[in-house]
Amino acid sequence: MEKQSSQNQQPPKEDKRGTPRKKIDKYQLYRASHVPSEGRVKPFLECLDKMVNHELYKFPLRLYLDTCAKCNNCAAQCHITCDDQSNPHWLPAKRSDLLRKVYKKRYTLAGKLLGRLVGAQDLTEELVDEMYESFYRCTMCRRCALECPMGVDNSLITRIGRVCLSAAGMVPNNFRVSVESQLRGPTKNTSAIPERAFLDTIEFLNEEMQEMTGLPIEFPVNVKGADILFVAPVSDYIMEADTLMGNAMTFYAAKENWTIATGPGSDSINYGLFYDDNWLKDIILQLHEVVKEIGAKTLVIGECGHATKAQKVFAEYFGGKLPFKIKNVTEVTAQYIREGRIRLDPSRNKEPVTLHDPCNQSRMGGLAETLRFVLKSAVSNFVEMQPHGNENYCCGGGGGTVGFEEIYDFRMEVGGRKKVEQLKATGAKLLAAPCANCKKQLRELVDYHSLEMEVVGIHDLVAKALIFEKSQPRKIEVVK
Amino acid sequence: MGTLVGVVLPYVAVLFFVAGALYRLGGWGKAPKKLNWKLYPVPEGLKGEAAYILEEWVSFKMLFRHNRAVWLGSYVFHLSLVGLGVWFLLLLLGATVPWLVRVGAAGLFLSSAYLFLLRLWVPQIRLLSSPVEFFNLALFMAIAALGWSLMGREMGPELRSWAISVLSLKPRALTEEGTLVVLVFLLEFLLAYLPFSKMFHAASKYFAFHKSRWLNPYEVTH
Repeated sequence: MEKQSSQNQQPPKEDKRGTPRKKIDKYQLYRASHVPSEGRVKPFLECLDKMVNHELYKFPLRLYLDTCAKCNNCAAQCHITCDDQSNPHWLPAKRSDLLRKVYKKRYTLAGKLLGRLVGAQDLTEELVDEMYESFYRCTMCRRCALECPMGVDNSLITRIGRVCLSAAGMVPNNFRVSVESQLRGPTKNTSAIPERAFLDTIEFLNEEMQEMTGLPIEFPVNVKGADILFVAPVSDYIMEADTLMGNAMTFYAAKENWTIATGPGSDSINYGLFYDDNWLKDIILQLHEVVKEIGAKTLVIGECGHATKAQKVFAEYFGGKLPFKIKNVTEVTAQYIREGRIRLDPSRNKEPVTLHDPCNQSRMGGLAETLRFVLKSAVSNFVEMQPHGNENYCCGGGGGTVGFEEIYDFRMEVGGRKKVEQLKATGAKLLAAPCANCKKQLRELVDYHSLEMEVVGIHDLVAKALIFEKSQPRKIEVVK
Repeated sequence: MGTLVGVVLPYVAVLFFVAGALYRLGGWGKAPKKLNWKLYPVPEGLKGEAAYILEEWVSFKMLFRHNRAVWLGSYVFHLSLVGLGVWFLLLLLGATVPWLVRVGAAGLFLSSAYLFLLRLWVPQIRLLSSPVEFFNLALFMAIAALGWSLMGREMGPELRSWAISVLSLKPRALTEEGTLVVLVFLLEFLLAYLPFSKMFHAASKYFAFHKSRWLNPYEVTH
């Protein structure tokens, strides 16, 4: 009997129902039905061969893999481990070591000769399982890199790890479905919203804005020759009506010649950034085609961190010298305020507001001050959370992980723990988060932890503060 | 043994060091820097960067802020190395500063031993460490201990005249057998081993900060 019971406790080698073969904590991402469970070592290594010699990654990747001092300073920065280092699998340096030991064994003389004595190890199927769980616990927020004495950036190692996993077929289902829909589906957006439904939403938003303001504000659609092509993450059209209306009202108030687009021009989300350079490139170029077709001078990305970063960091590498500029929408609004093209009355937003810095905009995009400038222009009671700006903590749903319902409990209990602590300490009633990913995670956190706080976008508040002049409505030509 | 360590190995060690350093530095220096992977705050201009790096070098502020126990060991360790380096330079110039070598050797031994024990003691750091991390620290402990055991035996003049003979390319064998020979051998091994180990981070740090974190060839600035 005893023997039988101890056998029952052994996890099955391969469980079709989706039990992970390698557990790193009580949460699990691995589902055998979604990803292959063998034959992954060869394609993973073939991809790693390409990555360590890739002109983009060769330099930083080798540098970071070569020089970790194993001091564990990164764990003190990470929102997951800063207060609780009980689970070794969550330590950033331990996670990077999963790839580092394979790298050492394959590409360094010491690793080939001395093996485990220098921390080198061959890649095994079990290690692939562990990487899959581990690399999708990291949100690639790069806070650990800020204070690494060696300047090592664990997020790049995580990213390359995910790229190699993708080559081995190990891709979370959410990514696979969204990218498939955006590139190959009939709707050309990640949420698979049909064009008719998209246009109905626009119509609804137009009516709302006109009712609110009494002004002929609307979303121009597919207007050729517009100066600005505005592309929000398409999820905003489902989840963030107030942010979108704020964007449209700001453009209207600034008398901007702008447009949105349908089809591939309706969505700035780029999940390729998180796990696969091929898709990253295809999605970037697909959107560039629309910008060129419209003839816009500037591509403006909506309130979305990763979409902004994907375009700003990789656009010229993949797309060559571009005939248009790329900006984040908050940068554009800041410019309108500075140039006096729009005026805001901060006294209309009296409730205490705090700002969550999306990692892709502040720490990685240098927009920390810009976000604050716009928000402070629109509200009268701004409260900083601590720490903030470049040193702010991740919401716990970055790196695309906010889309994984499989690890919802992890995001709420572990990944978002530090953020909840920060939020509670502010006493703010409103939480401005200019990023679609962050907004989703933060709303879930607010609900899960019963915080008395409303999550909004920066432009939700800008809209309330906008002072409209009685201007002549512009004629808008809709080109289909 | 005195001849091998005194006459042949110094040049072999330097050769390994130079070749290794050129290989590592050349690899990092020549590698294309195409990834726009900027991390803010970005110091303004070369002056700003230099001030940032200098502050980090002088204070080890990143460790100080978040990891005080490691900072203590690491700081004393590096300061001792600097102290011993200065002592050796002064020795070559003809000045003997006995207190400096004592403080340096003691600091090096104690900090290496402390870091060794810390690696064993703190579960997270133990988990991250592979045998080579312990080997590196043990190497420094051995060097410091041998150096300390030579105190009071007036090795300065012997070491100086030997070092000058090596530098002037007229090497002579070490006349003292035993401890000094082993010590010099370990130092030669360290020199040859350094560029191939992660201890070459004084150089890698420049690339990690200047070239990787702050320099962006594809930056979309408009």
